[in-house]
Amino acid sequence: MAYSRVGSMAALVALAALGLSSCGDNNPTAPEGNPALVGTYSLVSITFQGQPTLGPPVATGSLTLTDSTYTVTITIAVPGQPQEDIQDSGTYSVSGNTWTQTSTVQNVQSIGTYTLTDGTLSVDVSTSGQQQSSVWQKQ
Amino acid sequence: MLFRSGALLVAGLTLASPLAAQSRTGVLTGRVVAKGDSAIAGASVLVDGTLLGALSNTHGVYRISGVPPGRHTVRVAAMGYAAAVRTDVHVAPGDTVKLDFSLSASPFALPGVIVTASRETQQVGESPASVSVLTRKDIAQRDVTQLTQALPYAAGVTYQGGTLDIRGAAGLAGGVGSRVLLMLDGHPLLTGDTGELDFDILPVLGVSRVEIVKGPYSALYGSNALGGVVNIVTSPIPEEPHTIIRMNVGAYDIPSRHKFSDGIRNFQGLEVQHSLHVVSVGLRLFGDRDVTDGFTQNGRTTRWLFRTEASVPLFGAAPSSFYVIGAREDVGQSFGWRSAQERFEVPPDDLGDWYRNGWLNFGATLDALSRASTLLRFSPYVYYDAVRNHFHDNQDYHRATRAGSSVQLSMVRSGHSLTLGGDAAYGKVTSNIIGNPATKDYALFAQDVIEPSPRFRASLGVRLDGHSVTPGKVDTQLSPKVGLVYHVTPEVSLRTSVSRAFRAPSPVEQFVSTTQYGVRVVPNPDLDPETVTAGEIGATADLGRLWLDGAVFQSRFDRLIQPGPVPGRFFVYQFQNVARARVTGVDLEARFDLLPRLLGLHATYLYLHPRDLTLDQPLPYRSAHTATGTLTVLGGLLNVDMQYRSRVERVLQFPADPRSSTTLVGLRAAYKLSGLLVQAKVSNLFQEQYVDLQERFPGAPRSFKLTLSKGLEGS
Repeated sequence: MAYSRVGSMAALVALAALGLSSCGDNNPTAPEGNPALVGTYSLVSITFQGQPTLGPPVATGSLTLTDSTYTVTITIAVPGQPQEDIQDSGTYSVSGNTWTQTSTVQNVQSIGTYTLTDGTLSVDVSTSGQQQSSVWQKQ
Repeated sequence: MLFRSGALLVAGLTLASPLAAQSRTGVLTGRVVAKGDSAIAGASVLVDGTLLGALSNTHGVYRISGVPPGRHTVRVAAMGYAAAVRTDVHVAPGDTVKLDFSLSASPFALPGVIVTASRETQQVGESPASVSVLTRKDIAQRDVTQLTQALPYAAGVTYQGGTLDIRGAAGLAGGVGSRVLLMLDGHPLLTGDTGELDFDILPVLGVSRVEIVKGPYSALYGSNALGGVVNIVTSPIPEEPHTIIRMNVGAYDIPSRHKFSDGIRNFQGLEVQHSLHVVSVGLRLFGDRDVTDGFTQNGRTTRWLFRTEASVPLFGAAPSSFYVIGAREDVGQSFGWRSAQERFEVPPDDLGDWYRNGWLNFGATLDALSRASTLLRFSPYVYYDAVRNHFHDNQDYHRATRAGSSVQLSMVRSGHSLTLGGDAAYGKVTSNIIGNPATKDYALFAQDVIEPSPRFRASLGVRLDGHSVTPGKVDTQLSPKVGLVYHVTPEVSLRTSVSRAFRAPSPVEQFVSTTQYGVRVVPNPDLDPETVTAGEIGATADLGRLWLDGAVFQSRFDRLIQPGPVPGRFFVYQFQNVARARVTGVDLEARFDLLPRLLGLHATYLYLHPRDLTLDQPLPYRSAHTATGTLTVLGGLLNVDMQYRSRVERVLQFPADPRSSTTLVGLRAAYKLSGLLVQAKVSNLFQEQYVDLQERFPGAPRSFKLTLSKGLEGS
């Protein structure tokens, strides 16, 4: 069975592209969760693959976590560059301090670590070999 | 043992050389038979130290005209037979010398000669680069309808996830540029837009053998030969009318946990090929229709394939060959599997999505000058391909035309076998996501092969390639190679080679502009070619009932092209030169004649240690251990095939998914009944559940197939 070349090309570029905003997992062996994570967060800062750390007002966004799903919206408005609006959703799971997420939009998985301290959620994940860190504040 | 026969593949038996030349030269003719006097068709008869040669016809008869006066050494090689040599053959001006050969059967169906490793005909074992060959028998005994089903049984080769890989150079190409160069009778067969190879346009009938030159080989063939070169060599058009009909039907046995409907998912195909000669013009016509429901929802694929070949005497003794291939394929889109644990269903929105591929390919081989010591060959080609999505949310398309030609001058002078030549190609793309870039490629190459002693052979080659793209930049690449072969004994040879190769970025990598899965991808016209430098040491031993070949190798890749974030921009990606990598490995092949004519074994093993030096991690989508085995019983009446690959150490898309090793076993039985060959085949006998390299792309479940064919012999 041949693969769609248009489709598979898109898949390859998508491999590089997630991480950024998503969080989730539909792994059938999904382990325990963390009820304390459930809630809505605002973006504090985001760093992607060695690029400068951005935060409000240049980077703004929100993250909503249920016990197994996430929805994220991020807007990047760097002066002199086109505005980037990112919307993503998917599933996630946590085990210990390990964070695994699967974007149902971008069809890719990210693995890393997280901490939740006094309502501040920090997530460091690797997606297709690329590192991304983000910090969120619970509303 | 230096000999050349550039005209070999196209030399005819019916054409005489000009009278003037005949008066100064002689003719060699005769018959090649097996012990017991049965004719051997397709035997290669070669005159040492010249470019002369011929193939025997269906009656075993060969004829070589234009033989210089003097004493010659004449060699014969045929698949499945031990090579024979006749020394001190005296040819006088105007003489017709009759020289018959009687060959002993060999335990192994090894090819007599190869043509890819040096752009000329040479004996297997004469190449300083490692070469694997899938013979017609190797292909026939697996009853395949696509060459991709047989290629994994060639040593050092894998075909997974739609990617052809040699010694770990490719991993998962993902449809954006092959790191293996595919050729059909020496004509490049990569699409002009994505730089991909499409086996869907290659008929299996009419293939004589598949030659795989392993390791970087841009020194002779230019871009994309990072992992090596795969050359599909077709058989000569037979002298007498010949028809082959082959039909197959089969069905998938989908495990209940993956079943998505109660219906049987089946597949069927019909191939018809007819060869004939009209006066002195040989014609071969082929038509094929394949339909499969696939084993997944939305998996239906329909393919039409047509091929016309002609052999025409245009320039004296060596007939020119032409081919045209047209194909169309409608493919159900099943991309985006959610989980290997679920049923083989696509997301509801994707139901009914499909895409269409279309191809038109033309090629010609014109030996404008074919003499004892000189060959001038032109090889023009045109390759058109088109793809259009018919998805519920996407109508993307791209189409490309790539046209070019190579010219090659081969000469034998004073112990040197010199090959000089050039390539030129022009490509044009039209696409809603790539734009309309145009590419120009041009190259000069040279190779010298010297044989200072019968035991020692050296090969030096270099090629200068220019690649320009509009809009974009101009790039030049220098690709050298050097190799040595030393025959320790007539049965054992050692070889070593070092070479460099490159892959120019495909237009899709440079110019794609799209948003996929919420990800924005922008062009990168400044993308540079990726390169590799590699070396190997190998040995071959033919010990009668045991044939062995092995090599250790190391490849160093630079500027590998991968998707990456655009510097200074968030959430925007493009293809970039981002990675350095090193692949070290061992490549082994063995053929055992365990019980003569009763039981044979062909085994391959590939060990890889692939490292991404930039990230200090394993290169993704590669197994450390890959092995195959084929047990042949009763001369091919029964076959047992096995493929094993160890767990892929690193993947990119779903790294948390469970992964494991994969072992696939197949069975095939054949029986001939009144000229009708009946074959029954079971693939994935033990119903292994696996992914086809890329995560969440399930591999095919167990399937059953019945094939009826008539006329396969002598094809």
